[in-house]
Amino acid sequence: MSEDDQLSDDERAHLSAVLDRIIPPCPARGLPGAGELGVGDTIEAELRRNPQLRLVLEPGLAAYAALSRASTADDTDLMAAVQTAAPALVPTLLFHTYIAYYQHPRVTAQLGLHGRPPHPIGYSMDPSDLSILDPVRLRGQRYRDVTERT
Amino acid sequence: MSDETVDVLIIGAGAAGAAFAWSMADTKMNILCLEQGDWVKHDDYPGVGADWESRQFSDFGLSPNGRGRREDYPVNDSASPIKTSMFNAVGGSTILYAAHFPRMHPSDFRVRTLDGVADDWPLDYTQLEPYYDINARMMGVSGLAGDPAYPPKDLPLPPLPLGVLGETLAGGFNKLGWHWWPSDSAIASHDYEGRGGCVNAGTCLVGCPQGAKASTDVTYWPLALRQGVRLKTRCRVREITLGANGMAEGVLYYDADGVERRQRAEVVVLACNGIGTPRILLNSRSATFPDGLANRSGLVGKRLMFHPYALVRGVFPEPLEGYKGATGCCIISQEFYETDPSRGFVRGYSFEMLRGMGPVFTALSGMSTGQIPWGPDHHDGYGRLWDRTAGMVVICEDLPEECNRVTLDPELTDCDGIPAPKIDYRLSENSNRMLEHSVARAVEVLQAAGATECSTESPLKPAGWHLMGTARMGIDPETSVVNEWGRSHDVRNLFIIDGSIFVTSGGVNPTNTIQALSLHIADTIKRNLANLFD
Repeated sequence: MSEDDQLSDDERAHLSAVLDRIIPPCPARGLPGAGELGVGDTIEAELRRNPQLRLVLEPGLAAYAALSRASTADDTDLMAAVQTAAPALVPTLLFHTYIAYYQHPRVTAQLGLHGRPPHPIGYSMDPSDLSILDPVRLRGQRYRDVTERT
Repeated sequence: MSDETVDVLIIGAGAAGAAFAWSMADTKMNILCLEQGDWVKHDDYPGVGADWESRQFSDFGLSPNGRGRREDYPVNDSASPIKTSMFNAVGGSTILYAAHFPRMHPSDFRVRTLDGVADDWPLDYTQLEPYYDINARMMGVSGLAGDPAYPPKDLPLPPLPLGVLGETLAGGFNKLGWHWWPSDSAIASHDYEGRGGCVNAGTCLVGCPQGAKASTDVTYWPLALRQGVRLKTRCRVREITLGANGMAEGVLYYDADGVERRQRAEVVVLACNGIGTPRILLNSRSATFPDGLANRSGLVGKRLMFHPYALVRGVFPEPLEGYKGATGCCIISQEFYETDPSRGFVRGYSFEMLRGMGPVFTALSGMSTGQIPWGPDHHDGYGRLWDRTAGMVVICEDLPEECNRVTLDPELTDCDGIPAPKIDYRLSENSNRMLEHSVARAVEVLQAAGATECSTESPLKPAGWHLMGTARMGIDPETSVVNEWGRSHDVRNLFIIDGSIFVTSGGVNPTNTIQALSLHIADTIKRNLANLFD
């Protein structure tokens, strides 16, 4: 990691791989992995705002790199080993990863939100059939009448 | 330093200050309002961007401590299980409020008489009723007449749509035979008085770019300014100064450049909320008032009331379209509002249904509850919650206790060097019992509506957005700070019009009552102009 809090190309690749294991791609739902989506750019921007993040990211990505080179285990076992070697890495990334992923237009489009901000178009809603209030009306007054007591 | 003396100086341009300014404008007096915040441009609201949810963690967060804006002041709430929320701008906290807009009930003004606790108010529901009506028209309240939990009332706009989520939850209430009703909402259900109707975007808690939500920058203020009221922004009042005659002389404040200024006034009106108002009074010390201005009763800052909240959510098997619609305005239930001694507590609470969460908050909520794991099962966990979660908040009546209070922090200051408020607050045994009862009932009704699993958070920590009671009204100067029309017992040209003057809290959102009170006080002042200081 450089002094100006930029990731090296290798670190960037490792971060992307870790992010793809935090939120993997889901072809059935048409959803990309977090690394593939570019969430790493958001993490890197956060690193520039909050240099303390380096204290977690640097050793965490180094641990991932070493373990992934040495291991032929599947993803689950690999990430379990990373969790043991660098326990702060995933918990630190989760908050930023979830935010960046779930506000990305590609993801919100797949969730049925059209991949656009809520305003100015908003969403249409049908008027309600308020006859469902009939049982409430039938029960009559619910508030205390205080006039005779004051 | 200004040599001008204005007739009326209002401190604070939020819910109360705006309504008061509008009402007083027809007197043609020289009226000035000082506001420490600024206008918020509607194009700057998060709802126009993809990052609208995440900005609740930065510049549009509820806590002034987290936002870091120059317009805010810090609040030391480390000694409170409930953390304070407020916003400083033209419109005040109405910029971020949910705009759920219930009235208090007739019984709320007669707590001592009916239930033997706290105190009765020095006025009653019938006295405020005409001002609730005016406020409904001015704010553009949507709702449905005929709610059996209230005396008859008319509202200018039809209710907001219940949506799939609202109808699903209503089914649960009907199954149990409990009261519910479409919420009174200060959100225009269609175009109203130059404001666009609600487009169901669900971003209410970070401001409404549409202008459908009735923040006072789009309701009262444009009309007040048109009638000649002046409003100066980015002006933070440090203290109210006292003249030799024992009357308020004016204020000392810092302008946008941090320069100290003086503003003289014939009448000073505090509208800074239940924390900001005692902060200024306690910081206005003199030989006459060594414990803070207007504080001969010793009650300034004491009897702070929040509403203890609980949040209860349920997961449903079918999509609810919960991302659509006004965030906090769906349906309300007041089945448990009035006292029933068999429940083990006095007074009561409201249920207010929430819409579902957006994509980001669904993920973060699922992360915190453990319902959404990271890794291979992530999408299954997320898919189970997305658009299938509905929730409700419980708003419990908070009874006043002198140990719950606002004081001045001995060290913490804002960026102008003014001491910050410090909060000491604890939940009473009555509140704890009420929370316990309400959470159990909330789970019951969510399950009746079809929820398969429920999660609860009680008390809800960030829910200190209703700030009341710290300069209470009353007839006796020994036991109250202001009289029944907001005038200080001790300083006769000083008025308080915000939530500070509440005697009790009720179990509903207070903004409608704050504004009705400020309109009532303005009207009383206008009727008594000839002998205002007698």
